Amino acid sequence: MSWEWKIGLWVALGSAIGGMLRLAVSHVHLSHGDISGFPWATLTVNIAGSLLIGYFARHTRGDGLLPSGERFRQFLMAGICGGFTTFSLFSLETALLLQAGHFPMAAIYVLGTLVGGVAAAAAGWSLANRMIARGNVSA
Amino acid sequence: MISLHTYLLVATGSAIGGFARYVTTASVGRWLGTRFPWGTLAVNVLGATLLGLLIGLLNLSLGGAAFWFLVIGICGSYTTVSSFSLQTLELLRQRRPVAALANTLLSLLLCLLVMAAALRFTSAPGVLS
Repeated sequence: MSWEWKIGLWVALGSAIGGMLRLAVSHVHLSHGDISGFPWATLTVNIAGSLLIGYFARHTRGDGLLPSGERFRQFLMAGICGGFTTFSLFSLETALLLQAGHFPMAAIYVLGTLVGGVAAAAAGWSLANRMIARGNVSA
Repeated sequence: MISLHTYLLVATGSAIGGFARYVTTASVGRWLGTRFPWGTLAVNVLGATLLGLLIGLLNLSLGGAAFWFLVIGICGSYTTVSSFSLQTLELLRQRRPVAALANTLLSLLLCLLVMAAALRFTSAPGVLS
């Protein structure tokens, strides 16, 4: 059990960093008290965070360029990427778009986040893959 | 401009939310197994419920200390799109398209359902719209 709590603390530290980065991306949006309209800030962090987690997932494996133990791996992935991205605000914003009758905008937001997120994770993974392949060729 | 104070509120809330997410995900994984990402689905649905209830019950003003700490910090970091994306990709790589689609639809529909219910239950829509 104790090893899990230690990983949890690394995730907490990473999430604090990820959460502050999310705030930095969305601060213009939020400081205007404006959560109506298209939620660009949340879409941006969710896509960027998905790209990053795919990239980290590949690089922190044993054959990646940054082979890591479980703690550092979870610090980067569950911590920084997990804290940076958010499903709850995405849900709130989608509900508000639907409630306001902005159906096409809600559909674009949902597809952009969910399909875009998976595509971004795949892109991050293959970007890392390409770097690793190039590293192996030159080595 | 957002003050340093706001960053500290969000960082503290995010640390708590991230830790709670890890504990929940690990517990659900032990309980239901990790062949399907139940843990991430659980935190996302729970986090959406909590966010909807908080907004309605506490009548949080955007930009207040409680809003930054509870909504942007705790709820924001308790839930995650990045793990959802990576795990859905993993299901696709395992050639389990039905599981990948089920994960996507369950995540979306359950979160929207609990969010709508929470907002209605607390009659929050008037607060935000």
